[in-house]
Amino acid sequence: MTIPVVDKAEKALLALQPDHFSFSVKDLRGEVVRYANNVVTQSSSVANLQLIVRIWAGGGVADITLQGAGLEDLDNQLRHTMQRAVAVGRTGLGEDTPPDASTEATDLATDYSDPEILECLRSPGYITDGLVPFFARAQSDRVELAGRLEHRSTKLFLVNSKGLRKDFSQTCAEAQVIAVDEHDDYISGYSAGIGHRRSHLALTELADRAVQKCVRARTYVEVDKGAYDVILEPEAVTEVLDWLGSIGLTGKSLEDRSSFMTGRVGETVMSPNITLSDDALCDHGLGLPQPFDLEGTPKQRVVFVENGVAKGVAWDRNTARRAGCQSTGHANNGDFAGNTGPTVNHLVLDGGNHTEQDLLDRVERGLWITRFHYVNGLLDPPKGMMTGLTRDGTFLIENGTLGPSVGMLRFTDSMIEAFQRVDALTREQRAVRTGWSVPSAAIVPTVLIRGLQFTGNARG
Amino acid sequence: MSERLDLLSEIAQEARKLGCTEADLRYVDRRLEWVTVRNGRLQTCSDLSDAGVGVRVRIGQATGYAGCPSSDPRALREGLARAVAMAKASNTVTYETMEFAPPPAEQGVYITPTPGGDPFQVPLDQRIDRLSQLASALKTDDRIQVANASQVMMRRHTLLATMHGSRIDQTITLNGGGMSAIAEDNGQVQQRSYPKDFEGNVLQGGEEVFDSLDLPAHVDRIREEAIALCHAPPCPEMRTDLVIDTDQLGLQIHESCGHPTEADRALREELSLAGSSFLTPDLLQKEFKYGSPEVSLVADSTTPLGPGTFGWDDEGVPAGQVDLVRDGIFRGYLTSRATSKRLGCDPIGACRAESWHSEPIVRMVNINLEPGSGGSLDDLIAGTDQGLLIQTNRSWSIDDHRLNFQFGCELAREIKGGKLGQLYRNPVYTGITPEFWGSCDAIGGLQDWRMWGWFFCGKGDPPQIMHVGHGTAPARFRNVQVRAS
Repeated sequence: MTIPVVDKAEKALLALQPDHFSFSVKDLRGEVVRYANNVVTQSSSVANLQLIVRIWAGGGVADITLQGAGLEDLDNQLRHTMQRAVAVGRTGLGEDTPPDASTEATDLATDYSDPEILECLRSPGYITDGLVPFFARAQSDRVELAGRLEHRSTKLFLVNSKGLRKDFSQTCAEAQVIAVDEHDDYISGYSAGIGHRRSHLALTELADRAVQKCVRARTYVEVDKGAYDVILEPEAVTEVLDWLGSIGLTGKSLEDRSSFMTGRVGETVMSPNITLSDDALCDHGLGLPQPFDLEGTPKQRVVFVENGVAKGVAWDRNTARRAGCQSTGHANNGDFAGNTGPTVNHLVLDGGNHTEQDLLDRVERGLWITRFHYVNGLLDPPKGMMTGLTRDGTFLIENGTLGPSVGMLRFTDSMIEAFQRVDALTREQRAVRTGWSVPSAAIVPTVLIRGLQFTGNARG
Repeated sequence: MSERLDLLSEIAQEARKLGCTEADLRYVDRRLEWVTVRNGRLQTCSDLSDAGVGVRVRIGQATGYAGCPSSDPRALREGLARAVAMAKASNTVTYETMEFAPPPAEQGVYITPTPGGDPFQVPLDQRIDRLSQLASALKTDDRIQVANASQVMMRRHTLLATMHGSRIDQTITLNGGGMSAIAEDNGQVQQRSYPKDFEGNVLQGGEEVFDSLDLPAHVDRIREEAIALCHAPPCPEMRTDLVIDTDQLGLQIHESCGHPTEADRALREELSLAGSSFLTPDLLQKEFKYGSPEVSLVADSTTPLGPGTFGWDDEGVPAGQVDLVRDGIFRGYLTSRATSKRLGCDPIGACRAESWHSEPIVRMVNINLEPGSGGSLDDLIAGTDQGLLIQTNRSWSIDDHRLNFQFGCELAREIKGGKLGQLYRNPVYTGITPEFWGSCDAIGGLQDWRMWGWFFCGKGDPPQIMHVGHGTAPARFRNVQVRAS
């Protein structure tokens, strides 16, 4: 099934007769409800059409992204882009990798739509259904809820001048819940869920989990800075892995000398119980599946670290060509203007053989961390040096028992070294939202790390 | 263009029949170009053209928003119907009234002055050539592994028509860029950037903005400093006095003053992404000491060159200047019409949206540190007996209440007896916001006061990006914790 703009764009591009072209069309429908203080504060419905075109002409290449009514002047916009490609050609700097028909063959599933989400989107505002008991649940515990509920539907079409025509459909349901004490917003709890089916979100369970954490956080003790054994919930692990993906797991990070993998493929870089990959096909049943990237390359499972040993990185077509290898299907997904090079959007950290209680039992004195805030991985990227803060549920563990809240703490540590000290992982994994404007999900267990270094707290 | 504004006004009036007490229709046509040359090849040549209409309505106790990817009448009426449906649905789960300050009825036109010419009219190959020359000049030493030079420019045309009579036409042009060199030597990888990393410095104006960066004049210094940093010792761990140059102080202002003075954060409405603020509304009545008496921070949406300068915000509230901190005392917030109503003050015109598909939210404008009596950067260094000069942001992190911050910078130099000495790599400084600003004992004067643009400030949920400005002179802070990352 196609939509009119796909055929219109192809016809217009064929008429221009460039050397090559490729384009993607994204048809997006979405609804978002934000709430805070037990009140809906924003309620939005958006329909958008996005066309991303790449034209090769006169030895150069140029891109254009057209959104919404920007598509109304399509012929002129494409002509302008062709002129830009020719201008690039005149500079002699327009190195690029033309599209390839060999990326065509794939027998991957292409429809990841949930009829229930599509039905919700046909009734504007229906998304708010279910929020009333949600807020009532919180008020009984003197807690206020803040967060977001989102439904979206995306259809993506890919076409290139080598005859490639692909499409896929995906829906996404996402919820985020922060429970805050009605009088003190330093006392809070958190939970979140994401999946391609509405049934992946258990709203009542999410609210319960966040509220329980908030209630537990009403008891507070202060702890000193220093090294602590930590149990990181999937949301906290993902904050770190997401940064690691950006600074260390792509071909561009090798070119930038920012990757911890540089010159170390084949070496043991992490604990033997760490196997980290990117797997967009989501055979594990969680997350947001994607069969191919925006260059049309089928998504491959890429193993970055296997049993602690560095194996390799993810590539798009340009970085792969420069390195003399093949794309792994990790071209940028159009998430951020100006961002080029491969991206890893479907990180999977393999689970272990433990329950959360097993992890607690292994900790004599340590910290339970729900999530991190404002992690930054640019301190010393080749060493994986990162800093960040705890948020929405950080608890003392003593003799295997979860205790009071310890409030906000800042960690600063090499996360490559920290992953050498991973002691155990849970069997259970959760899907955790990643990505900026284009949602994706990592699949991650809860992890016990020994001796994470904390360098600050609320007093300094 | 008045025809389109007429249509928006007409639809806004039709909203009355649907039970709306307010309706804003905002047409946005945005063009963004980003060009990057890296190691002798064109890495990025992207061009975004984005247009559509955002419809915001108010019914009963709630608002509804719809983004329409078209500006034809049928699409707008369909968008209005969606916005109404969203508002009605929200009414069923909203226990409190989200009131707004009275609607403005403003009319006018704002256009960015571009005395040096329209940057979009400079031929692409000329722009690539000048970036290529910069990147090539940076890479004349084999120890430079990566050399980047880039230009970013954006034009946004906005038409705003409201049910209560506002008719506003604005065209904002931003332009700027920067360059960086990554050196690998002596077992170290180190970066230097100018004027700063990421997007460089992007300001409001025309081609004169890029020209004024004078990038060629800084190529040799950037290259040599990147290499020298590979041989420099790590920054020692200590408490010492810091002279912070403007290329870092702008981000310090952004993270530790701009974000915590956003009223939606203070009212706990931004918890789902950004967090809240230690600057709670009760502190406005308590003469809260945010910083030393030298520190005055102003939200100013009229500053020349500022990326946060405009005629009216996206609710039609006029631009202006408002104290956030005056002589060290916390005085005010960045507000929208809704948050100002809840705080019992007037809206300052700080409600902005990335584009038509995004609902306007509280945003920074230009958050400026007023110049002081500390003279030039050289004067500040000469007046410091023992300390560090710290320059150019590399990493940033601050907690969800905006208290505990840590910034990494590209470079530090020892100050001894008022003179610059040893170079250090990987400096990090950390502190608690009011203590840190309370330790500020000198702010430079107008001679070194400079506007810095941040093009990609992220906020909101779904996330939006926004261009904001921070004018500042260098300043000195006493007894700050520093170390190497």
